[in-house]
Amino acid sequence: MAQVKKHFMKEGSVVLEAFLDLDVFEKVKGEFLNGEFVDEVHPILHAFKMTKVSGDGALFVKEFLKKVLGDVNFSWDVRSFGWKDYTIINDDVTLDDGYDVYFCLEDWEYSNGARIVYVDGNGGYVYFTPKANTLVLVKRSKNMQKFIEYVNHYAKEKRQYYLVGESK
Amino acid sequence: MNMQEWVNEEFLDESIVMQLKESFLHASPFSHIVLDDFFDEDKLFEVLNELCKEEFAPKESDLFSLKQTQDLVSSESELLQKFRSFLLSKEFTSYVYSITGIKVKEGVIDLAGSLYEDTDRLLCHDDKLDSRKIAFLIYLSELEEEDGGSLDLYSSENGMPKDIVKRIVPKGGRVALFEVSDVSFHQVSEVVSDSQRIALGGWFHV
Repeated sequence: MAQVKKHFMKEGSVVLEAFLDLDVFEKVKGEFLNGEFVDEVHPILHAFKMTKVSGDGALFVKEFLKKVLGDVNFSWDVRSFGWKDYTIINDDVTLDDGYDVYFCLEDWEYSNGARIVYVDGNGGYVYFTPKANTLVLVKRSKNMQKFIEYVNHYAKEKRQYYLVGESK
Repeated sequence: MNMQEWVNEEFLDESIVMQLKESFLHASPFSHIVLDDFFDEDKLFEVLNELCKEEFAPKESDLFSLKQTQDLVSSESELLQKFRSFLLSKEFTSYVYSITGIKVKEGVIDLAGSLYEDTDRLLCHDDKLDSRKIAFLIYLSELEEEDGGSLDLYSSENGMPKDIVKRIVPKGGRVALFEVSDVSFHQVSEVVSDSQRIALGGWFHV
């Protein structure tokens, strides 16, 4: 844990594969994927499907986050990206300082899109391509922007799912 | 270098121009027009051949994935420079005014070649930037509807894009023109085959 915290503080992000025991992961994944997903479509901003998650639904990651970040409140939802889904950087919106969490639910071919992308203030890109059962923690800063890469037609009927936590 | 050299005769007929003007003004979801076989076919073929000699650099962001030339102001091709000069000539910009009712700045144009291949796309946006006023596309290759690569126009509600209400499929020799405005929301749909969408495009300014 100390190593994780040190790495995170130094690099501004950390990627933790095989985050949960496999049987726990399958249970958590099943619960999230059974949620009621609704279309979240504003063509100039984003297109994806989403289901809200109560704070209890993310309990499995809360304890970990508390040890790394201390007492930080997050809002949670599960976002699903299939063919033609995406998010776009909104130039009118700058991020506040804070933290973003992504817990990846499906193995995925990232040549199909859906990469998690952060853009720093100098136009530098950082890409995250997590496997299933991987936790990604990112420290946001004011100059950063973020998006989920457009999913192309090679995804066919498959969808990628992220549990997303954004600190308030 | 004049209209007769580049533009097919039928489009120079005054009554046709009047019809085009009406079409443009009353088009939905925002002012635009689509003109098939507008330019002389042989001349456009020469333009395509010259354009294919230019370097197309890959461009990727949250909004787009495509390949694009530099602005053709820096092209060393005599023919491309000639075509560019014609597009920003008084004669042509007056013609654009007669259709659109918009007096664009003479001698000012953004013009580049674009190439969209499998998975390339340009997501929803309005083109509003600086003094851009009329966007145009000159298609130099032909795609079928199922290939993707269409110019899709969105309806709008409360100043935000809503639904795709028109798809303009790339067709060799087709020209599309639209007024850049608060509601000129559009996209280039993803190319989903091995077909290539090649076009010249850009903006007139005010």
